Amino acid sequence: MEREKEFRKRLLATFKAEAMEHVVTMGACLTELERMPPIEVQMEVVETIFREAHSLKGAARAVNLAEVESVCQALESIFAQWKVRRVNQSRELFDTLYLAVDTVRSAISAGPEEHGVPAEQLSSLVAELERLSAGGSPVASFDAKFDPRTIEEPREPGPAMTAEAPPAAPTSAAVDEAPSSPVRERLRDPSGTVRIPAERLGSLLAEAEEMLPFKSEASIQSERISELLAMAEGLRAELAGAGRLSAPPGLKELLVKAQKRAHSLEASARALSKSARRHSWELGRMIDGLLEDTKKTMLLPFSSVMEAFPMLVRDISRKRGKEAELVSTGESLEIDRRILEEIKDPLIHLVRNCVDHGIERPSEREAAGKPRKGRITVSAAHADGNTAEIKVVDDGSGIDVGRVKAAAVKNDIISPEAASSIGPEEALSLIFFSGLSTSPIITEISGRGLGLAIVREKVEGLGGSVTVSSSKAGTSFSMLLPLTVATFRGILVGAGNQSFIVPTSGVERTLRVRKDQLGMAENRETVTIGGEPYSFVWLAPVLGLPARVEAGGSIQVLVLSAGGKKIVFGVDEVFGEEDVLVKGLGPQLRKVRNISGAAVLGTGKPVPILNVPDLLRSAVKSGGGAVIAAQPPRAAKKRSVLVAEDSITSRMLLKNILETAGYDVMTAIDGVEAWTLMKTEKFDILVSDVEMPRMSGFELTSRVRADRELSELPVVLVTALETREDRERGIEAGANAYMIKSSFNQNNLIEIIKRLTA
Amino acid sequence: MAEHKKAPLDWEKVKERLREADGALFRQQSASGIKSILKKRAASFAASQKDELESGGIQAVVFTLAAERFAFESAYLKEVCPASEIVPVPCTPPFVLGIMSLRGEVISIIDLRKFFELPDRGISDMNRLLVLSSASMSFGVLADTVEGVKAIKTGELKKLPTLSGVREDYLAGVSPCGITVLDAGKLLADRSIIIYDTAEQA
Repeated sequence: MEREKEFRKRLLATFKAEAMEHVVTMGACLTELERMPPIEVQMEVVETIFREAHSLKGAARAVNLAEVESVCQALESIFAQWKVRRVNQSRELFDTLYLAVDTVRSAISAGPEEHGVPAEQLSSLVAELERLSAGGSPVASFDAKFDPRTIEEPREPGPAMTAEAPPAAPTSAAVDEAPSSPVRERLRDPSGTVRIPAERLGSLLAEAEEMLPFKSEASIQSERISELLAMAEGLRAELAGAGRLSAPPGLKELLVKAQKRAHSLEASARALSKSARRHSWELGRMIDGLLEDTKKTMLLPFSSVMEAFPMLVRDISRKRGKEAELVSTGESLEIDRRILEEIKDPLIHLVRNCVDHGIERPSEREAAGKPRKGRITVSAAHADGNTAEIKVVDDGSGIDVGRVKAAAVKNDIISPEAASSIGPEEALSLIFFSGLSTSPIITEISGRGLGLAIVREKVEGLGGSVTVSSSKAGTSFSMLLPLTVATFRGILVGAGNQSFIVPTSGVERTLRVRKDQLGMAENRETVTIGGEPYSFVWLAPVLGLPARVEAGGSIQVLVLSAGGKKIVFGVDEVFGEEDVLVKGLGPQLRKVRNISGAAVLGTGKPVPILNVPDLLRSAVKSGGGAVIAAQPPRAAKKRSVLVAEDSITSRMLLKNILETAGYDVMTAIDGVEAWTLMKTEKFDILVSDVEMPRMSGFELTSRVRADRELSELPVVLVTALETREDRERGIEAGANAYMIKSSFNQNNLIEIIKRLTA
Repeated sequence: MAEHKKAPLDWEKVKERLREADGALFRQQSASGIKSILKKRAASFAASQKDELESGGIQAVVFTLAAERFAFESAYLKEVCPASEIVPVPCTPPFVLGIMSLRGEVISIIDLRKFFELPDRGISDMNRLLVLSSASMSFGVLADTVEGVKAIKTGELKKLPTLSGVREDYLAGVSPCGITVLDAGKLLADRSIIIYDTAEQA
């Protein structure tokens, strides 16, 4: 029983997917037919729709969907008549046909148990279809036997049919063999297409993406091995130099041995370095290839989202008493199906808005000297690189900027003063604010309120942007979207002692500017690049992090752009561009301002990814230049650390780790020496062992806390003592952090030092 | 090697010692004797388990943080593992310590000290990561050490008026041995810890 149920469930799901394809094709065919194409094209389309209705009928029968079966039956009859040109192509006919396709659609989505279509409605529709299929004027020369009601099944094609429409016969026979077997149809398909569930492709892609961090890790390791090689080379050279000096025979002998070792060390390092480099290169090539090919399996032509639109436009314009036609171009442009999926709703919003508010009533249009029928154009085009531009354009009356401003002021989105100072373009972009979209006044007067905030959110969520322009001749929405989502490229930057990824798609360029290129205009900081002034802000304060101002004469900046706006952001450092794997921030951090997610780098460390449109908005709010004045310029100085440790090994290890992390390090062999050093030199932090001769770490810490000058100095105790009492003694003494040597992790130490000295 | 040749093994002695050991193993206990011991053991295990359940006990994972002892009911604890480097996330409230990567997935980390007015400075090395998880929520909290699992009788928990931190709601009570038991279920279900913020609202 269970298994049967399970099977039925799967069967229904398969049917639904297949049936929806038929419905979409039928809808598209109707739109095509309504345009009155030349007779050959028309016949081809009729043939297609006839076959679609027939296949759908068979499939519906298999899952006991009687409603669908009966409507398809009637549709089949009409198109059989149409094939022999016995159908009167009236507006009434098209209305009924559209209604029939719609009915089939709702019956399919409801499923067999639900009865998605009321019985009376169904029977009247079928009766209407039958009337129309019978109502055509018969062609005189036609065989009288060819009564429409006798061709219910194309199983026995009448002789007249074969004679009248030769190409129809073999096809309908073929359909007959396996009306509901997509597999067999595909087998006959010469292009060799295979149907694979999208879910399976998705997991394939996810697995391929998981390999990305290893690619960068391999290249980092290869670099490290090269460094090792350089060290080995240096060692060998130094030993060779030492060998030329005069030395006692015992030492000489040792030197010769060491030289030999250094030699073989260098040779091994060289071989290792060579193979690591080759490995890393091969791995990179393979992962890139795999990802690219997997990504291609996610591509679908833009037409796949557009199929439902002609019907949508027809539907809404009829309901609103308007006349509009939809023209779409660039349908063959291939875009990742996940993006298409996400963009579908925004597109529907935009197109609906065009009909609702953009296109005027036929009488108004005629009065304005425009054709009665409005035109909505949806076009997709490859913009550049990995970007597609999708435009939704109407030839309606345009948006009244004055009214947008008024509504924005009324809804407290901008102040009246700001409203009077902003230009028309900026004012127009106010329609994307959610506060505005809900205002009944704005939807009533200039329209285009509803859902535009959602459109923007969706588009920006995909890493794209949306802009609007409008004139008396119509309105144009332009969305810039990535073609693929799989590999996300980002620029790794440093700001406020942290690393961030800036999506490459939002970065216009990166460059260094001289301090003298900075200036002030209207109380905002600006920077002049190539003769053009831009707003300038530091990234760190926009993110609420401490700003650092370079002592040098130049600043590393990024020109970020989104939604047609550009702002120059100053950063501490630009490390380079990387392919990164984008992850969410977990369920607790649903949406964080300015941060869109995190990338896991090859080292396993997550790095926050910045949200460029958010950043631009935050930058405008933070008032730009005021930030820098508030933060007194401080020379970029290395932080200095004093390490007190009696073991020479631990001392060297700590010194090495800290120096690698960019700190100035001084060492002391015990508490007394450390204390003396602190009295003469200035340090930013003290890292101390606990057990030391002469003065222990606890005592040293207590002294630091008791000293007037040093009392604020952060102290980290690193120790082998890990009992609770020891920890408590550490607190008593006033240490800021207490690290156990057995669990010692150098990243942890550096992290703690970073936190304490920030 | 040379020494071994000089003193060959005394095989007789070895064999005798083996026989002795053999005897000690099998002579001592008859089959029924072993059985009765096992039964006794099983009974004692079962009894203690039953005892706890009858008096409304929970299994809790006890950990220390800023020199205090806390516990979470183990049912909400997905795992305990060593903490790796935490990356702070800007534009989040202070109780969000940052994010961490756990086997390739990103997890957010909450600072419990902020909820209970524990001192920020000092003494926490935050070495252990406790991952709390429910059907719709998951995040990590940091602890200094994890002591282990302990049965705690809920009936014996006391609400102390002195323990009135910012988030008193998260306290289930204090056990007789001084462990502050936290209500992980409430913490996980609290919608106010979810960050949903945009530049526009700011």
